[in-house]
Amino acid sequence: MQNNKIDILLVEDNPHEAKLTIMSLKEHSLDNNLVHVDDGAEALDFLFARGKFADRLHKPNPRVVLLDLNLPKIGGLEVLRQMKLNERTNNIPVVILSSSNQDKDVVEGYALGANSYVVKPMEFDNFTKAIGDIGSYWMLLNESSTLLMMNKSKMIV
Amino acid sequence: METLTIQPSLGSSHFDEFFRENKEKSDKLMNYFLAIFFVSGLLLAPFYDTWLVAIGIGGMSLLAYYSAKLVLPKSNLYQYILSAALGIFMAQYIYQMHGLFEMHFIAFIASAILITYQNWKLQIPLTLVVVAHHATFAYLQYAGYDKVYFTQLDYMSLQTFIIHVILAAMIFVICGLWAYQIKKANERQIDLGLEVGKLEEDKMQKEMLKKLNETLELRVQERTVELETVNKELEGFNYSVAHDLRAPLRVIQGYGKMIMKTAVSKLDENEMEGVKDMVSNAKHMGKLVDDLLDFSRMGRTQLAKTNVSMDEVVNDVVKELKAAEPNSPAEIKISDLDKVTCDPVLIKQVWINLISNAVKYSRKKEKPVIEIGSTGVNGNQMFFIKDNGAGFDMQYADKLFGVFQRLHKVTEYEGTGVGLALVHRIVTKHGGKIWAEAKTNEGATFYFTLS
Repeated sequence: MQNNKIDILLVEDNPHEAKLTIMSLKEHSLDNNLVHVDDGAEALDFLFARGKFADRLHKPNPRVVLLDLNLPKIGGLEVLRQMKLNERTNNIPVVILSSSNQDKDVVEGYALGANSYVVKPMEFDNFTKAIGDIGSYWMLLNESSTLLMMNKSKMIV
Repeated sequence: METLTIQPSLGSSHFDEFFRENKEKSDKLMNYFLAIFFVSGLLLAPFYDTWLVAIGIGGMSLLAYYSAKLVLPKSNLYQYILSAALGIFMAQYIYQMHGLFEMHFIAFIASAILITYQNWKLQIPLTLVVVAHHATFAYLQYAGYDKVYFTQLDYMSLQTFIIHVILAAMIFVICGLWAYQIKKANERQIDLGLEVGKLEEDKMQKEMLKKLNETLELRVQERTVELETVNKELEGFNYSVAHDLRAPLRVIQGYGKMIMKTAVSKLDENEMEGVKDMVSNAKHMGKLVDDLLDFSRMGRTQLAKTNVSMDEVVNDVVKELKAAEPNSPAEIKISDLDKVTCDPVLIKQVWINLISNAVKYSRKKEKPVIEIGSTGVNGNQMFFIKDNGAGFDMQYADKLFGVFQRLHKVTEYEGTGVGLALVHRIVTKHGGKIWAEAKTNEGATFYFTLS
């Protein structure tokens, strides 16, 4: 967390699932700048630089948020809703990583502005591949507005 | 919960009931009357020493009455015999008292007794006996025969004769009339009672219906709320199952795979086998959870029917299955399939399950052949899929479509036992039917309709 540049914020309450996710990202060497928080309240603290994350106020946003839905305290959909309401965080890409393929969740997720909705594959090999693909896409292929903003702010300074 | 009970309508059977009771009561009374008549005969015997007549004639009357009653208990014949017997008792008494005028009045008592049966016709035998007796004995006495003992009068004036006839006729007619009137009155009374009962019943039923209708609306609302709550709970349950059961299974699988990859050198063959089993079981359970979720979701899905080209659906499914299993030796023959109105997503699921089943269960054959087709006309098509695979014993056909029911061992053919249950649910939801014919080791044919 000392690292200034955070690429991925992983919001996942199950520590084992988090471990497996990070393992999968590691296989694709995408785990270097990753922060893992395990409930919705902490996720919002991180994103809004509050509480124990107050020092993050002037640090850049993560390039993508991997968000689980079923979280303690504040649920995933609520985290997403608050993110999209806040100017500081509303342009961070959010990938919902859920065990649930309930139509209701998918529809609501997109309605709230999720960039992607991925149902975690049951089988581990498929799971590893899916996580790798997601990481690669958002880290390597996708042009991030976060980086642009960072460059801009540097130029202004 | 209130229930409506409707009494069977009461008809003539209710009259029968009443008159049967009346008959039984009257019959009992007759036993006493006849006893009194017989004993009276005996009491009259000492006057002119008429014992033989008292016992003989009286006994024969009783014998006639009781034997008729015994032999033909269901017939009313014994009542007519009773009527005649009472007339004969009158004749007997007149004879016993050597023509004592007052003994003629016994006929009036007899006539009155018969009213109890409420049948005017019973007056007829009595009248006939009285008329026959009077005519015969009067003629014999006035013809000069002695020991006839009909009347003590030496002569009968026309006036006496006329009064006698009129009195007797009036008594018999009036008693007959009363019998008739009483019967009619009773019938009316019963009718009226029934009518009133029926009216009250109707009224009660109407009131009950009104009350039911009033409460029905309320009950429907209550039930709807209840159902909605249950449905929501169920959805919540499904959600938990989906999320909370899948996650740990993935973790077990993940760690297992990790061990298999990183600890190959440290584990012996048995340990490695154990880890493999752990992973494959977690995988199987994951599949079970997924299938069950699909199955339960199907119960709540609304059908989105459109005109669907079955040809395209089946060809798509076959293409996808071939792509997933490029080495499958199965030859799949598809004959012409008509267009059909159904939910395309769900019907695709049906074909996926049926075709992959056919492929699965025929893969041990040297030359697996699967035929897909339809028969019947527009709107009434029956689709079928036939394979030459493992088949099954028709004895267990009823278990085929139950959830978790399997007719083959997992070690022979993998599966969760949810696939055909899901197919059954989709077909039934369309208003169709599905069934199968099979022979062990020779193959199976599944048929289904959609309306």
